[in-house]
Amino acid sequence: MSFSCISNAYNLNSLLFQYAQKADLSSQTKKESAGYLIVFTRADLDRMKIKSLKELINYIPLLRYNENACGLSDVAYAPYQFNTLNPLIIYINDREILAPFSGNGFQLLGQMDLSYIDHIEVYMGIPSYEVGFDTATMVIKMYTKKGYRENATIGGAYGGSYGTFDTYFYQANTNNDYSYLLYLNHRKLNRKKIKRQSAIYDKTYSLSRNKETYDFYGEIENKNYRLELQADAGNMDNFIGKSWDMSVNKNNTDFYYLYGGIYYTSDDKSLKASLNYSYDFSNNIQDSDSPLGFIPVRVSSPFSDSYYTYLFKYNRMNVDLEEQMSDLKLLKTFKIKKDTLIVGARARYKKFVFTKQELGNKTIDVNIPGGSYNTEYVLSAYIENHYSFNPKNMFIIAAKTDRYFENGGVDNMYLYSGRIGYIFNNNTWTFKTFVFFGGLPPSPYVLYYQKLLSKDSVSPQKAASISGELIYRYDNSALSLMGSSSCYRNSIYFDGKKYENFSKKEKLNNISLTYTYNFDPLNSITFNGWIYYLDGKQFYKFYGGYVTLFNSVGRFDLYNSVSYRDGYANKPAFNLNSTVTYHASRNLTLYLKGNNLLNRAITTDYYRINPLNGKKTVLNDVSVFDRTVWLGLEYKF
Amino acid sequence: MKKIIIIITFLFISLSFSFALTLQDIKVKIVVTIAHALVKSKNVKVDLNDKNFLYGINGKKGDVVFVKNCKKADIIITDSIKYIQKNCRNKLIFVTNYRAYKTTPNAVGALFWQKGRPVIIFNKKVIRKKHINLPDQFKQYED
Repeated sequence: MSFSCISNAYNLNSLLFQYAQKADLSSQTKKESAGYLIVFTRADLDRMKIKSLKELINYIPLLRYNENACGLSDVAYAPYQFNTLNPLIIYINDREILAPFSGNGFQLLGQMDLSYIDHIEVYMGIPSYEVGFDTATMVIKMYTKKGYRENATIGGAYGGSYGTFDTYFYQANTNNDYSYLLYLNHRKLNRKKIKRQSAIYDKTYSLSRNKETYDFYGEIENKNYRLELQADAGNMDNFIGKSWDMSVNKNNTDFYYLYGGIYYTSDDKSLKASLNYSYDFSNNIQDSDSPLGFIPVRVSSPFSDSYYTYLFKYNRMNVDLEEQMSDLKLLKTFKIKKDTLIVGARARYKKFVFTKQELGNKTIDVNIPGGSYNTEYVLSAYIENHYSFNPKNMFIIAAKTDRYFENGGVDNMYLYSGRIGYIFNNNTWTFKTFVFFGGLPPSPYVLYYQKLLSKDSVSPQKAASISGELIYRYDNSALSLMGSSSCYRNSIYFDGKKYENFSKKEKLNNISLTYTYNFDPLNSITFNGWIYYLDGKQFYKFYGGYVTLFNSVGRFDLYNSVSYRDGYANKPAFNLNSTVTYHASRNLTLYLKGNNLLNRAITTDYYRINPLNGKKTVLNDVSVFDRTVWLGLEYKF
Repeated sequence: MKKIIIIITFLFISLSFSFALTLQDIKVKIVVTIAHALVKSKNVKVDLNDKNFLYGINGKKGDVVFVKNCKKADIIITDSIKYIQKNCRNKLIFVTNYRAYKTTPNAVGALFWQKGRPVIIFNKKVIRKKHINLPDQFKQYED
């Protein structure tokens, strides 16, 4: 390396940016051997001004952002198909974000503020158990800001379209022994209201997806211990909810969430341990001109298991749900010459109780079928071995077992899975391939309603998958080709009356190509395109991709991106997002951010079927990304 | 024409290598840039006194010489003044964390992390006191 002629001419800002990228916290947390990895660094998130996880889905191949009938983020949502399998598991640091009943964390986090998040790692292709105990086709790991990287007290606010307003404050500092982060946020997220004219009631209904949240996150850590605390509270309008013909007068949920966790890490002992506890409460009140549901009476006969009658219909419901989750995790690593052996174990407890169920003018107790099911214990253990033939070649083999103990007459589940992988890596080429086989459990939500709806039980889904990725790096560019072929048995679907296991194989194939060119350290462009085929209960293809451009000019950072989604029931959709950031001084940053500027982002359809007369009510082409412009500022005190 | 091809090839190779830098290379480049901004002499002598920041850099890198003796150094790079011999504390001291910068009034500058980004600051008072004439492009980093 020669410094002589150009040393004085080094652009210090450019060097600092390269330093930030190379020393990003993700370089300490990412696990290249765990799967197919996409990293959104702190610098990326800062320049994009990502304000919620849903925005990021546009830049994750093979995912299509969607929202369910309650206005909650749900990548697996399909009209009139109840939750079956959640393909996405989300972590904050090492904590899995999960609603114990629905089994879905993205619904909780998808539209909440991310100002306390430093960087995000996306692991695709059923990643290693080291990343997450629960098997998922994709894991998103969000890492919080660290005091030793912040050394600052920050206040920020932004607002704009539809009256959205968000304020946040965080302080993060360190001394030689410990560092801490304290974060507060208030978000009033106002969404476009969807108007619906009802011929039956001769009335226009305004369907709302607004949300207001208050969040606190605190973290303190020293060399070995980290304590995490979180408290969230808020209320949200739940859009269509359960209304049979979308004639919603009121649908609102109040909620709060409390969490505490302690983590122990010892590099000397190669040991990690953690203990977590979370509690959440929600109260949902729905009022509709059409019925919201009915209490069925199951009539058994030797020939079928269907409903022939019902006790009563109801137009109003007031339901309280309390959930608790606690887990204890241990992870020990042994290094013996070229072998790295990782052994992990977890015990988890989930409790979900409907403490109040007022349906119409009746109060339902837990004696309804399925109502006594409210607890799940899960014991999991895995072993994973990484064998490095040499610094360029690694072989991985792993096995895991899960025991699900259910109460209330729901069958226990015993699941096994395995994973084999090979990785080649040199300065120019990286090749990864993984084979996975194993079972995927249904969520307590499915088990609860199946117990309510049918005497038949559903079996866990079984999956087998082979996948690979080839990365070629040259000069200032990188080209990545990734693909997988999977086969599912016992896929769970809702047949209109109850859940069923699909008797045939379901095949899923996908391929994704990504190319990045760095003009210089501050300016880059990325192209991505992907195709996703599903051949099973339904046959459909999704297409997607994006072009993203990062630029820095003087005190301005510019971010522009167009993402594309097409296929299945969606019209071709283009989502143009742009952010202009102006660094007015060392302490003050101003920015203008536009989402869905073309107003052609992905839309979705909703429909409801009256279960008593079969009448279908349809609401088509509802945009899940509003066209918004937000103006914001951030100040360092 | 040949010259143009050689220049283009040189520029292309320079640009290509710029992205293949290791973290250590980038840190060395930052130190070299800072050293030249603070001391105008041709062979600036730098004593690296923070093993967590940079380790094992010896000898000459361009116009900067890395020395192991603080008495011979023009600039001392450290994470705390308490690690510097008393008779060296009148030299130019550049610190590598925010806390050291706040507690070391005679530090000429600092490189530390703030808001998740590396930040460079030159202490205006010390710069004046030591009669250092920072190049214009570095004025933006004055505190």
